[in-house]
Amino acid sequence: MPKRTIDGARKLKMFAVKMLDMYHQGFGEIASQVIDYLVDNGPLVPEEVISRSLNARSNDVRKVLQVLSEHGLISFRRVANRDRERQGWYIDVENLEHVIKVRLEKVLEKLKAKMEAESNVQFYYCQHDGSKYTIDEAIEYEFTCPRCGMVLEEYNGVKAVEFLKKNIENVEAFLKGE
Amino acid sequence: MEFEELSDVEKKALEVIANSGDAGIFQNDLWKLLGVNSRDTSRIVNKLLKRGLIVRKPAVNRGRRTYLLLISKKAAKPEKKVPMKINLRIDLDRFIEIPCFNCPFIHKCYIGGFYNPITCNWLEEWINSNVVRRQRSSQ
Repeated sequence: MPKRTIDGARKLKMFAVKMLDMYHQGFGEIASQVIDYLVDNGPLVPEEVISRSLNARSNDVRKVLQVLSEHGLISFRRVANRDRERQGWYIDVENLEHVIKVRLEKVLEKLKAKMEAESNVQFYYCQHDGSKYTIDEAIEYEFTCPRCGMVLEEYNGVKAVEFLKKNIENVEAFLKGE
Repeated sequence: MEFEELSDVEKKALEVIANSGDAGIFQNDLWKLLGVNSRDTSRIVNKLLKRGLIVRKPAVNRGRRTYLLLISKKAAKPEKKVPMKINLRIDLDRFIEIPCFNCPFIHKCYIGGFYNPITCNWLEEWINSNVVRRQRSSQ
């Protein structure tokens, strides 16, 4: 097996693994194998071939491929080649940078919404288990934690806002720099 | 690479044809070597033909019309597998920690939706773990 020293593939794999781990437990491992396989075996690999060579359940592999393609990391293509048709999955290298940029714009949107909420809405939190409630919820629970019965305290979001702001600036700086 | 694996007898047939070199081998000799009947051999040959591993020419062997089987150029020189090159100018390490960046549900996430950035547990955990870590390191 050839040694992979290409940095882009490693980064892409890391990204895919994190995403699939969030999607479903255990899918990250399959995603890592799928990306490895696509990198090694070049473009246009049919799904059946991937699942057979990875020894994974074919419906798991199919789901992983679907999620990855939904987010634009891999694509599906058919090519009519003289008398026979080839079809299969490939890593969408040309689109990758665009995909990431669009994604970062979305991330920015979410982080800003979160920061807005953190700085404008008063939260109450439980010191014991760290759960957080808005003022309406806190009144409903009479300022005691519904899970452990501790008294809810006022939540100070200054540090969280600071942290979010730093990350927003990081993403904005990148998007402007391009 | 896009086909399923060949069976044992198909591999053996391919090997016999490859070993026969430029002279080739007649189809009505091949099945005797393989130890399967001529009908199965004709199926095997068809499969190998379809994949472009062999070529065949009509020929006459011992007064019978048959085919001369030769290994194709493609099978003689198998394609080398080269790992794909991915050039990425963007440094993903800067953003990989942000849960939204990895989130498989980012397209379904909006304020008031099922996936909501304000009440998102992943986002909350990430902020908490980082804020707490920083508080500890500053102490």
